[in-house]
Amino acid sequence: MGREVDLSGLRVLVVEDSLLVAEVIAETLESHGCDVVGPVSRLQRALPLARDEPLHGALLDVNLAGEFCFPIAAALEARGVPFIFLTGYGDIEALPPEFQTKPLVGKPFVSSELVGLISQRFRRPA
Amino acid sequence: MSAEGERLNLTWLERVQLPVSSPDHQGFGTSFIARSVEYELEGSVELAYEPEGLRCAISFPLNRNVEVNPAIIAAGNDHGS
Repeated sequence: MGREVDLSGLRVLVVEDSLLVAEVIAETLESHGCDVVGPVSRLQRALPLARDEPLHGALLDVNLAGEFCFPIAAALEARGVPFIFLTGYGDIEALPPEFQTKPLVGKPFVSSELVGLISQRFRRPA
Repeated sequence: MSAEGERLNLTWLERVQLPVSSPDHQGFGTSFIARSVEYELEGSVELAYEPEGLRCAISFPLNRNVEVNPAIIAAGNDHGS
């Protein structure tokens, strides 16, 4: 194994509708020192967190039990909080034009890919 | 019927010959059923180890759960969990 990526001090919102995937993501992030906000499974639960929680970044499952996560993305974008989409098969076509250049990780994902992208893209604490 | 609209209330009963008591610890299957219903369906699970057998009550709102999660139905039919 290479040098472990350190995500200490990063507060990351996790929005994912599958329990098992959400738990694996949360455990992976926490094992690298991340402070996980959530995970939450629904658009309605995620929106207040996206608006009001102190965050360095967010992971957004594109399809949340039949609803798209894009209102969450818009709220984060308005605050300047970076995010990464988690996409299942076919989700990429659904991305609206304003979000087509955002980073995304396909599911099933490789931990090191996700952790590496978080380390690159999410704001480091001052 | 809950205040927010229709709910699915599912009760799974197992009736056995030998007396049943609560297990010493909660296995993966049991906790997975409860966590899945709570997290994915915003519902609740109650498990009671009655002397005659297991009673499992699962309840979740139909609103915003348009497709019933087939894993929950399968788990309800799975005697091993």
